[in-house]
Amino acid sequence: MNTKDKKINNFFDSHKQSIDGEDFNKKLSELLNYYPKPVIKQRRANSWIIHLFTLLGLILFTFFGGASLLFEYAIPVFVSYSTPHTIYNYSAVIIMLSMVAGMILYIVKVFDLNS
Amino acid sequence: MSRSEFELFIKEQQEPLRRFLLNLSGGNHTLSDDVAQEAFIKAYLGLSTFQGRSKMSTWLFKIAYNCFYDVIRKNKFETENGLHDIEKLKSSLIDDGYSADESFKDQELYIALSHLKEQEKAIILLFYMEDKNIKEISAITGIEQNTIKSHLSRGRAHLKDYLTTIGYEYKR
Repeated sequence: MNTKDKKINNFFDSHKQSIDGEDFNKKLSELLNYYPKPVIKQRRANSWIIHLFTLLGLILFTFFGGASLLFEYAIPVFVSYSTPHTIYNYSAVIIMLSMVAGMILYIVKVFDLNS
Repeated sequence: MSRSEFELFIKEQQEPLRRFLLNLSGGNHTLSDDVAQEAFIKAYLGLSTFQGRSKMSTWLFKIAYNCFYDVIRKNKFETENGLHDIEKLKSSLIDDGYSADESFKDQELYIALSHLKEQEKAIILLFYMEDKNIKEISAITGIEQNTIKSHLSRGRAHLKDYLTTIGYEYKR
């Protein structure tokens, strides 16, 4: 359904106009001088709440020994594949990887690395 | 986006946008350029509202599409289902300084497009002339993708009938 019909496509191809833009661009560029510069919303400026809660989360996580507990359970999975691991070990790995992914996303978003 | 980046964007997009509006308006250069200009200004002023969910060109076409129909509604242009007066078209094209060959080709296009309903025309133009896909057309026109497919199918049938009537042959 979404493929182009050859006959119609050919008709439009052969009737495609090329439009010179020199005058249009010049006129528009001059016209834009009369308009205020657009204000780009600084999302970063409004995202203090994200920083606050990230910091709070990290403090609480460290304070209650989350980090050391996570390492304690996650490290054996990375160190040895041969020894049997419990559900806690795998859960710790999943949480750890999720946290790393979250951190990367946070850095990309906060520092606008994708723009 | 800085001013110079926006000017670069204008340079890239002015031709497809003006061509789309020109064909949509049935060859009205003044109207199409006015709408294109208005769309670019609106886009410039509304840069902060652009959320990047679609391509910037799609966003611009959407603004222009809405501007165009706003103007049509305001001025009650009688373009819907109406065949443009060929003589009027001819004289307007010659007045615009077109060569006879160019104006003949344009006339042929406008007449073919005048056999389509307004929405079909816009969709066919976006799909065939401006190479937009269904998703982009949906974003520009605000019409559901399935409805676009139906319009496209009907418009295609109407155009095919017309092209057969005038003896237009597909050339490789």
